[in-house]
Amino acid sequence: MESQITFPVLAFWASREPDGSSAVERFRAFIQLSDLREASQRELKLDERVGMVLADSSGQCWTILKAWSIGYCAPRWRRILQTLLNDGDNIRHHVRHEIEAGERTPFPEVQERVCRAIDGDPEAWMDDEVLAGESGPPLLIEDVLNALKAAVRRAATVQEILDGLDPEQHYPALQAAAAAEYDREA
Amino acid sequence: MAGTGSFARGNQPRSVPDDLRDPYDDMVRRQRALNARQSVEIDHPQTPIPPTLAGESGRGANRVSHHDVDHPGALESMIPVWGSGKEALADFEVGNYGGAAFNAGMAVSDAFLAKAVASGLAKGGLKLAGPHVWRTKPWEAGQGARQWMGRQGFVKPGQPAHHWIFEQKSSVPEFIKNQPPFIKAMKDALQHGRIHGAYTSKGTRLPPFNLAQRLWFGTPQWAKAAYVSSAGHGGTAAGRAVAEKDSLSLPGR
Repeated sequence: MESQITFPVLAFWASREPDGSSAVERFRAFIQLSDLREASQRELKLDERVGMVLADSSGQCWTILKAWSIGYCAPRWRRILQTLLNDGDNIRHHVRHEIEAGERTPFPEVQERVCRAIDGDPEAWMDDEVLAGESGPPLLIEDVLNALKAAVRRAATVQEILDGLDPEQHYPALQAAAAAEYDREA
Repeated sequence: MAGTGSFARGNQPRSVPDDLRDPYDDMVRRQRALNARQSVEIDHPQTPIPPTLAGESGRGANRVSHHDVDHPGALESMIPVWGSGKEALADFEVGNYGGAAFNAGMAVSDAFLAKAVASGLAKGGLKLAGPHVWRTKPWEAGQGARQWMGRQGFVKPGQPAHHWIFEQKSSVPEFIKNQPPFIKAMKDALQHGRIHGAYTSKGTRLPPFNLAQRLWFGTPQWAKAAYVSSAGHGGTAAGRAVAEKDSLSLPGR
């Protein structure tokens, strides 16, 4: 089933804390099949892949029913080092999935789902010093998120969504608008 | 024997009242006691405790102490909490209340520092494994420094994080400038913004913080405590070292 997926795909999942509380829908992307076939120790520990919905540019969706490790990506010495460096959660595994094809979803719905996920996890997009005005006028996180969501809504494919999701490309325009606003206030 | 020169008494001596006899005898007794103590010190030399910066002159190690707590030595005074706490108790006992208050403050500062270090270590200490960039894209493997700090509890959800020592735009390697000790979680975006310049909040433009405010709001508790503790301990130890040197160079000590 994995071989039928057209990459890149967007992936939506309910991110849970280790204690099982506060589930927030987040999204990510798999650029190619090899990305999908790797998972971190934390993802497997929290079963984050199970229930994950994948959506491609045509709106075709798949749901991951099961995910299991078939071995580590890194040699033993590197995994020991990662554990010693307090990075055990990011040890990578080769994984395989049991995937079920779902119904086709209109692409605008996929775009809105991405927008909701952006709103639900603003920390993922926070360049704190840019927002505080370390170099240029300060920005509001809401303005940055709005610019990202506008880029998502303008996109016609998954790849275009990903291209528009780099906050840095929106900063010059946002800072110019903020500077004009400050000039008006002054 | 020479005469007294008194013709009326036939050159005989006369009795007069001696008002200073008792004080003189007392002085002689005390001097003899002091001589005895000093001869013991010479026979059994030990390192004397030098005077403190804040308190009275130190007592010789083999002298009889009339206090429960002695002043710590130069090295002992460098031990966080213990050195300052002991110094405060010793100052309090000898009635040096100013010194006691100063050293008690130092002990509190040490405790803040120790708590901050312990808390930082409990949350995972440093981000030793990469990536060390501030933020990774949702489709990149590994967590950026900000996501990692959020997950470890250094920064709460929605809390701005401030690079208080190395600016984010600086050329300092990300492995260094994005480490938790160099990041301060700010109260809100307004506080963070005013560190960098004027900031508009709810339609009101507020001026940037002055230098004192920038230092106060833009420096983590542990750094403030470390500054106070290092300055205090450094000063005390330096004073003690000088006092020790002076006492060694005094003749007859």
